[in-house]
Amino acid sequence: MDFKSLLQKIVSSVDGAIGAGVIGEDGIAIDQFSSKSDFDITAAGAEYSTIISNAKKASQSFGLGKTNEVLISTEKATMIMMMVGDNYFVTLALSLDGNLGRGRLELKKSIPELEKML
Amino acid sequence: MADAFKAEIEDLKKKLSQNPDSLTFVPLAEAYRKSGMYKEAVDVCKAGLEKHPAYTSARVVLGRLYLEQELYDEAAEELKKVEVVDHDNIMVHSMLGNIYVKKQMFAQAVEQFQRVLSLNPEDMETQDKLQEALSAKQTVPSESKKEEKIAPPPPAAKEEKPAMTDLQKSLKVAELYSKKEEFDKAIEVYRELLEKDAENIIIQQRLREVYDLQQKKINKQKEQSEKRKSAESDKITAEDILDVMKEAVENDLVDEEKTEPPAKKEEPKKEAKKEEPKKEEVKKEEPKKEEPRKEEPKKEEPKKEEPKKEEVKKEEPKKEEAKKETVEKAPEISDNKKIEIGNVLQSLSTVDGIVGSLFLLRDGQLVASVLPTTINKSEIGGIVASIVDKTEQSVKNMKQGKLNQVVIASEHGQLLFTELGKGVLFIIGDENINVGKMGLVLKQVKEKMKQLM
Repeated sequence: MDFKSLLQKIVSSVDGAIGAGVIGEDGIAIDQFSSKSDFDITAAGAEYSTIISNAKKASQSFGLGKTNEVLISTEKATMIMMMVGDNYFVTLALSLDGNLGRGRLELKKSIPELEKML
Repeated sequence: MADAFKAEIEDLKKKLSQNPDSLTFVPLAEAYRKSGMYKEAVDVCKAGLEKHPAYTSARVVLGRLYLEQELYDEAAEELKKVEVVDHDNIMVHSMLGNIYVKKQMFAQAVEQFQRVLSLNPEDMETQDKLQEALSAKQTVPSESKKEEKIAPPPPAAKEEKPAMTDLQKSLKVAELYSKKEEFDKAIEVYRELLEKDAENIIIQQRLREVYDLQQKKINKQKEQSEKRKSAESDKITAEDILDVMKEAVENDLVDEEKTEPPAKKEEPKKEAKKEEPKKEEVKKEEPKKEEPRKEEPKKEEPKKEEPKKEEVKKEEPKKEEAKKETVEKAPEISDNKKIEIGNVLQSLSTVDGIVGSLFLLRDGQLVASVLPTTINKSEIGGIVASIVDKTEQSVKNMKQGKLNQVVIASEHGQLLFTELGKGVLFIIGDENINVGKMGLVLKQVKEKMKQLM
């Protein structure tokens, strides 16, 4: 299975999922899939990586060790980011009524496969 | 872990001995509890409550200490005292529900769980508990008899309820008067309550607090009138001040001419010229102009997109918003409010897995914190403010609207931050934190903090 097929599988199996992507910590997206044409994770890659890097700094400041996951809820969407190895992360954006629990589960399930691919 | 608590206990003991009237007894009791030293925890809590009988968070801690030692009657007694004055306290209802289940008083347990769910309908754990209590209530036919034996007779309890509601209402009314700084009226209400129940320590404490607040207000007024008198005796006239202000406004306008495109400057200039003679209006304009400038460079957006005239026009209302925001961003929080916020944070530390919390203003100014001794308080405000600011900026750039909440899950714990009025609430949890429970408590804390802010 390639990246896009895996991301497509995640998006199609989670209610309210808008898009998913695999992004490097440098902000460059490896691949993405979105169910809405106006949602472009590639363009937002840099912002996602900034959020991850801030989260890492926060964890370090409080002595909490390695960051595994970041969950952000905003006025318009919920975003889940999970680390894949040390330098990449997979992200899933959900609408406000999206199934967050399922989204987290699907992302967690995808990590071993993504690690093999990277 | 035990060593970590030892150090924390020693540190807190030292602090408490240096300032025996402080509220440090609560974190100390919590530290004792976490290291399994229940007797010491109860003793410290009881001693502290003798000095601060109206400190409900401490009473919750004491109730929980009893509950964990399976001293259900003692636990219920403490928690009911909190329930009287803080009837929307989810934790209290949840713990009371658990106590009633243990005592097989399922009707009361159902009532408590229902109250938890009325405050947070999404609480799955309590939904399950409610179902269990409901089915237990149906399957235990002799329940009412059991309750009669264990608990005070139900009819008496029912008679007490309206009295409790009256007390709650009166306390709320008095609180509202106090918040509006109508202290005389608040004192009147408390006195009336004391006439009915002269030994009620909570009312006594509240009355004392109102007297203190009233005294502070009188002192402030005195200071202000003295300042006014000295200002009047000063030879500088109001006209002189007005001239200085006019000059400052004109200088500001000149500065704006330098930095902003011409389309923008004309409007305020005309206004300022027309309104020159009016003292108050000039005064109002001054802070508005200075403050947003401090903010703008941080956000950087307008700078990058400078050139087009149309865009500049569109930006104008944003600027006004920024002005309002910045005016709100530098609020002065009174010492009383800081203490109240501190109390709310203290109540968070009673939740399993929460090891610390802090509340800070958007500029990084720490308002209140309950943090483990391993964290350097003086540095953390700045770090947290920077993290919040950058994350918010990223979300903004992604056009995802306002940032509501961020949870960072790491190897050894979790961090959660959420915007609360003019500040940010930041919670630190360990690896055992119950995220569902934290969400529940957070909802409750948010409500309390909103009232305080």
